[in-house]
Amino acid sequence: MSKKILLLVLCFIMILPMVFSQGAEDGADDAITLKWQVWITPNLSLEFYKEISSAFEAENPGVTVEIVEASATTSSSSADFIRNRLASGDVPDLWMNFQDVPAFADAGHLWAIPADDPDLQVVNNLLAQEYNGKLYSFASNAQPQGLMYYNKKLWAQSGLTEADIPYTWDDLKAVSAKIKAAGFTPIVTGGEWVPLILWDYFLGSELSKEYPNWWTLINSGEKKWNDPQVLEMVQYLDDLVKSGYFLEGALSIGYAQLEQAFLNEQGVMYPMGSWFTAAEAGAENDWDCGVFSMPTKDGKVNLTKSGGYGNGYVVYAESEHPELAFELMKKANLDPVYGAKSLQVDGLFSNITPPLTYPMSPLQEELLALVGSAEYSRPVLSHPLGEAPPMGVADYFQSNAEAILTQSYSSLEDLLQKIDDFVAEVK
Amino acid sequence: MGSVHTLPDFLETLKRIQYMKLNTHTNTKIQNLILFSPGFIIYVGLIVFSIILCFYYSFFDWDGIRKTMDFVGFTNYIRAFTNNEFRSSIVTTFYFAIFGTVVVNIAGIVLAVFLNQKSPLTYFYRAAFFFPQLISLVAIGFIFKGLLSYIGIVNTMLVNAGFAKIDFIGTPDNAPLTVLLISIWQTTGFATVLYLAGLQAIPNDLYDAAKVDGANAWVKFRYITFPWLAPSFTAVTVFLFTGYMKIFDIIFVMTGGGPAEKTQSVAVYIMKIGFNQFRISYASAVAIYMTILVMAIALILTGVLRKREELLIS
Repeated sequence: MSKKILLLVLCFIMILPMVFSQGAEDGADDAITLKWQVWITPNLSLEFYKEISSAFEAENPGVTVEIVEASATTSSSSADFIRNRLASGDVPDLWMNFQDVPAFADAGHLWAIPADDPDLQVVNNLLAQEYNGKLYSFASNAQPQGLMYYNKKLWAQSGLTEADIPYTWDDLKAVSAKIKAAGFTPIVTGGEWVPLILWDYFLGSELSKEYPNWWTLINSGEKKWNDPQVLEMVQYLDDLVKSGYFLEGALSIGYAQLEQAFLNEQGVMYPMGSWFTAAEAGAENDWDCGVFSMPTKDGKVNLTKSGGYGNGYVVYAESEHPELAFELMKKANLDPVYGAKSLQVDGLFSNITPPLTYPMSPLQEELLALVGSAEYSRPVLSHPLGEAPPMGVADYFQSNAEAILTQSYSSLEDLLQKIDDFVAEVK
Repeated sequence: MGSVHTLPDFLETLKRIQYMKLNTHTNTKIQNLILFSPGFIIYVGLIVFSIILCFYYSFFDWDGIRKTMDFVGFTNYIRAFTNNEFRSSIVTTFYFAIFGTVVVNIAGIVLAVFLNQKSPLTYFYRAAFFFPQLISLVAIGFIFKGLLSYIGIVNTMLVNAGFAKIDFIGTPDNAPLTVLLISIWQTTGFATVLYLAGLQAIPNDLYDAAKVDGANAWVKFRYITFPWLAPSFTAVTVFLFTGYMKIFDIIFVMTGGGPAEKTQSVAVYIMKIGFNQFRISYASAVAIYMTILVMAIALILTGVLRKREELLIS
């Protein structure tokens, strides 16, 4: 008898998942669920996204926005999260922090947004964000990246003034030496995805200034990474590491810890993107933070930034409600209230006319002035420069930066050759 | 059932008994099938089907997102065979597998012998040593990543105690050893439990006889305990080695395969090429290579250790 009961229970357990995995059917005929994949970081919290989704739901009765969370802990973009969702068949309608437009557009997964939509005409250089003649996203914000923040208090305590702000590589070496001599750590950096930034910023500021179509040259074979000019840039980064200017034990410190380490004055300078200004604005410090662009060889200011085919928001081609997803995309980015809040929480700047504004901290105002005065402004190395880089190349930037930080490489040429070998392999 | 005084009655009774046996036998078969089915369906669906699919993908050029795939034959296998990064990840994987298996085996045997003693705290100790096995490697990875960070609590305590800080996971020299030690800590409980079960099966007469002959603890261990643990040794060794060859979770969480790819096991490499580089087919070929390699090693290990069992126990 007990065996029969056990069998019955087992059969029930087997059938149960089959019944409930069917997926919920819409309750009423006009009830719509829109899935929005969001990007969670220390700046971009779930509460922030819920605020936008609630406002959207209030304006669109019968629509429910379901938030799907992707995290910045182990990846710098949502592409691999989305790819897994494509494999499982449970794909969000609207994606964000999405960088790989070419590959996914070529595979037919992206919905082309209407370039003639009246709301989009406020975006500066809208059509410059097209890929193969179609628009998949719009760059309503600008995200400066190749930045070096500095603790003004420790800067002064190191015997430096505003006149010592470095513009050239030699300038940076000189101020770092002075800071170290004063007993402070010149540059803080960390592990997880952060080493990628060292390559993107320290090399990228110079490389993208000299070759704004770098990936076009690489893809055509006209240029190689293992090149004397690039080697000189890597040597510069290596010299900074050899001189002991970086935070000790950097690679064991995660991104969130790293941000706190700088806010807790464990170093004087902090290379990071504009999103840090949002964290700084929310922190209670007894010191002022300043910012300058990453030095270049000749001192000409190249403010590297996020680049590509829009601001990272795209609509899934097979969404049942692409137009609605597009409306949500506009809500999050162009709405005077929520668009401005999107800029504020992540330290972004408006790229529409008239620009969306938000109360800026002194640091953000300083950065805005820097953005306006920069001689050049090019995408970072892991974003399209002319053409798009091969997917996954950022892993080699990161491992090379880790090898330099830990001084565990056979030669710098070998590090550059690894990137060339990878590019050749994936071609 | 009625009486069996006559031959027809007897034959009738016999038929009824045979029918009952057959009925019971059939019922048992059906019951066994129903009990067996859920696990079998899950195994075939998740494991066998995935391997077949992986094998299929390895002969194509597919990025995991395109709707079409291009047949390329053995190109992916040839590419993997000549790839330095793949070879380097195999070396890293063998480092974890060999050292992990050896150390966990030794620790497992020692702990099992210790825990086999009768004491008031025996059950507490058994639970305490097995407890890490119950926590997922991902959770352990996150916990230890925070604890062992250069600015984490362990280094703070070291500094307060007058020692220098140690960069446990941020250097290429320390990171592999740190990850290995943490995985050993987590896995030892499993080995201990198996060895404990093996110890329970050793006849006490052998120890009594040895005691009478004046054997000391080491002699008893060498000539009785260790040989009789041969079946447990086989099971633990094969399970550990094949498990370590697939090591992924703790590396992914703690170091991501760094610094500078020094903790990049084959599983992490597969994830990188498949999911970061969008080279699903190439990743599938690498995965098939590893499947064949692990199967071959498991078969050889099992064969060798089984022969050893027969020699020792006979």
